Amino acid sequence: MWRKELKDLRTRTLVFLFLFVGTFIFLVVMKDYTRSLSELLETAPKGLLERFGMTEEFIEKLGDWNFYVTTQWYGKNLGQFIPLFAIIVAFPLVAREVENQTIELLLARLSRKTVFFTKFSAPLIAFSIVTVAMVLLPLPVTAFLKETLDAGTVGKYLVTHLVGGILWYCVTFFFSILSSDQVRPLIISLALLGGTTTLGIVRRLSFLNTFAYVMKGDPTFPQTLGYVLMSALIVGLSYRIFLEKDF
Amino acid sequence: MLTVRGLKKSYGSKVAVDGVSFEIGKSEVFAILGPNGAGKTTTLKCVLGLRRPDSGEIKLAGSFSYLPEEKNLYPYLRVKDTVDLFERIGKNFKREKAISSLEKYGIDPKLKVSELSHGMKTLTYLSLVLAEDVDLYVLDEPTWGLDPLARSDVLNALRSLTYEGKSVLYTSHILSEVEKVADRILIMKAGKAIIQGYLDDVKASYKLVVSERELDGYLLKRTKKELIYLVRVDRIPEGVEVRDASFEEIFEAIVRGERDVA
Repeated sequence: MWRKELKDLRTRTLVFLFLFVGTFIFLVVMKDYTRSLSELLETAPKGLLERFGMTEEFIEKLGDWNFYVTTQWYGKNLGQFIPLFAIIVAFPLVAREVENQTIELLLARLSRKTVFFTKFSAPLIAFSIVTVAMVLLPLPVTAFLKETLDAGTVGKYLVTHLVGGILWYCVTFFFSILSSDQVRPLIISLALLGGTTTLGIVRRLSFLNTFAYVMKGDPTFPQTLGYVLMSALIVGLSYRIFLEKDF
Repeated sequence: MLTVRGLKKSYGSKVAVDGVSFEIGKSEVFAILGPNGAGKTTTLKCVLGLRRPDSGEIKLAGSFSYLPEEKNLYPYLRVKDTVDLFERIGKNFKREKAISSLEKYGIDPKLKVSELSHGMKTLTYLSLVLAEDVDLYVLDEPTWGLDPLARSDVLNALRSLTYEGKSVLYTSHILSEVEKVADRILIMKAGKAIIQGYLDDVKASYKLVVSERELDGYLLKRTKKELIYLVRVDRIPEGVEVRDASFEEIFEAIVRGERDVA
């Protein structure tokens, strides 16, 4: 069943893998053009670009490889996609089997426990491998370009990308178990991601802003622990529901 | 092999199975019959643990395999990949038996499941299920959509399972095939078990009675002058015209009848 699960995932995972690698190559190529942003700053209406954080100082810093990779790769492109990648991987896992009525084929031959853990684990491992690979991707490129990149910062982003991504994977997997069609878990998870991010703008509810957690790369212990416990709780609840659900 | 006692299952306020009990012995073909919505599939799914009964007792001694009502395999897999999948997750799966069965039905293992017709998909699924060496085969409408030759072949395969000490629990709408292979039957209607027993006993227990007045039985037909009832032989009144009832007439009278308990 592991082989089938990985085969099911192949297209979605490869699409994201190519998207990530392509984006990173584009970023590396674009680094040399950051100087032209200074010229843009001079011609653009005063204050307009500053409003978006494009200050002279920021553009100067972009010339530094460590700052460039940290802000543009982890803090922007990869970081933005990680929760979406997790949702895209997880939304059809159980719902598609129910919608296509193939869940009966599995449950008549394997225990519910086996089906649950295989369905949960195989894609999670694939998601984690791709995420780790993409977080670590700048390291060999940095060595090749003879630049420097702070390994401690990479380690922190590794934690936030994995913890934030796995949280959204668990949330979407939960909705995939509850739903009898594939669209619902996708829509609900995306709506929840948008909703919690918006609510997270409020200072007191900032813990809800998982995008900020992932892209900031500052895994504070309480927030990280909270997300890990929340993920574990959702998995436990999903398991209970899966064991009792009528198929 | 299988004992079901007082099985009940509801979906909200709708009662799907209402206190159904039956037993299946070793080397026996047991058929559940009934109109659409009678509760046949829900009964099978409760037996298999796919649905949780509200109450009742299910005891299954031995392994089982299952052919669902909707013969849905993974459409993006090739037939040979599906065989591989069954080899990994199936119960005591005999690959050679599956391959030889697929060859017999002329199904190319290189074809994708999505390229198979409904009948070919059913035959593929059946080949895989029957290649699992288990004690009980639970088959939901196994011959639906098959041509007469394939249907006859499948029925022979089901019958021959009993020679190997296997048991079969299956549902069907096709009464002639039930008569051909089933040892015992259970007729369900609106979630309830109406009649069950050995097929020959059931056929011997009922007669058609032509009467001008209302009788204690299942009304089969109403003409301008007469009423035709299906009546238990021990309840046939004197002085009425009595005829033998075919299995189709017994089923039709019970399913369409104006009362539930004979």
